[in-house]
Amino acid sequence: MLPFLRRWRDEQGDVTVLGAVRVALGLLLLANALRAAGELRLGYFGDAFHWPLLPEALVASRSVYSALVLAQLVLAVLVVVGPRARDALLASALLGTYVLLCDRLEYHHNRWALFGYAALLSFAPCDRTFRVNAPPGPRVGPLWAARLAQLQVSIIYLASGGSKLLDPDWRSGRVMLERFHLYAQRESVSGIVQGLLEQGSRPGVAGLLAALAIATELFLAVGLWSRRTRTFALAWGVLFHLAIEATSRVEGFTWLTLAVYALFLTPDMRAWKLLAGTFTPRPKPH
Amino acid sequence: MLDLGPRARVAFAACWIAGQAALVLTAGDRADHVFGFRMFPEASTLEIHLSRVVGGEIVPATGGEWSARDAAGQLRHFSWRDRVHDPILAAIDTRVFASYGADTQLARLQRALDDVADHVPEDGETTRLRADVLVRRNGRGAVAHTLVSHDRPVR
Repeated sequence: MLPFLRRWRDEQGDVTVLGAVRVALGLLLLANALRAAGELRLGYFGDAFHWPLLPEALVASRSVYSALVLAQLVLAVLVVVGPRARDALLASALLGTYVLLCDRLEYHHNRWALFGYAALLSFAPCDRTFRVNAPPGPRVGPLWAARLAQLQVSIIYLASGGSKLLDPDWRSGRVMLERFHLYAQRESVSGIVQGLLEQGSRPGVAGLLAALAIATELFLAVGLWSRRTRTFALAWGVLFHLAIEATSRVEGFTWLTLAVYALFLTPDMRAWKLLAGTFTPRPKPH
Repeated sequence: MLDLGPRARVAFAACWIAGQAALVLTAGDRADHVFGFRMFPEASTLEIHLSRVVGGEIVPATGGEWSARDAAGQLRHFSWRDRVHDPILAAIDTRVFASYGADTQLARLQRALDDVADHVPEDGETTRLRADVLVRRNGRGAVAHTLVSHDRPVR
């Protein structure tokens, strides 16, 4: 076996941050379940036009779907509070994916990413910290699944940035320019944002911003891994996602990505250690 | 069960990465590119105009609403939005942003036409539903696309 593969497979480390990421994912799963419950109150998706990836016979009936939504709510709460959180994470991921397969009109990148991260984190010891009735015990555990979740971040950036790089309209800035035009036409846009949009609606500026967006996504796919570039990549990534949040409707994708960024924080980052130490009780000495 | 042994870790990771790679690389083969993580792929808009084919003639269904007689000769009212709730596809005669790209929305619209054609059994006149769509891809001029549902039996 290759040495780096063995290192990844057997790596042990501080799992404090995994608990924080679990809580964040739990809150996002809860928001997703509440959204589904709200939509269910307006009507069951199967009573209207839907487009399943599964055979129609396997699509959840109204009663089954209602039970699934309720289950997603309960599971999300379990993920947040901690006990049996890993089982709840995996179940949430499986149920959520099944719902996406029942109607591809409900497919959104952020939802698929959320269920993917939930599945991966369920294989990590994320239930030892940031939980109700935290049992005393070691805060060291295997990190292979957390590293896989980090790799998933890179896969998403690579897929997104790569698809833009291969698209002539993205490379030329045409997509960015038109997005600014369309966004500026909204009545709800405030004065400051309107001014920024007018600047972005100049072809040269839009072309530069498009190149910056593509370069950012491709850089983040690799820059988050290097110890030398990680701090800059995290800061740049936070700004990048906050800018997207301010200008686009991306459901919970911004907060999901920022939550998973925490997995890239290493114990040498003092700020994180201070924060974690404040909110997590220390295990009793044996 | 969730605490995998060393061999299972490698097998799981290999399956996960291969699965994600396959989904990303084959996204272009799916009409709506689902599971491909192609964020903000376009800045296109579309404008759907709905009509019906009745006795070989095209009759506009303005705003997605129409009236037709049933098999007993009684006049009934129909609405596209009774069946289609998706905010983009439900917007008839209005220019809307094509989330996930124009091709995604055209693929969904084709399915929606077939679905609605199958769910208006009281309409005894319409042989097919038709959508004339003006697509503006990334700010270019409008290009017309015509989609029609499958034939439906008329009594």
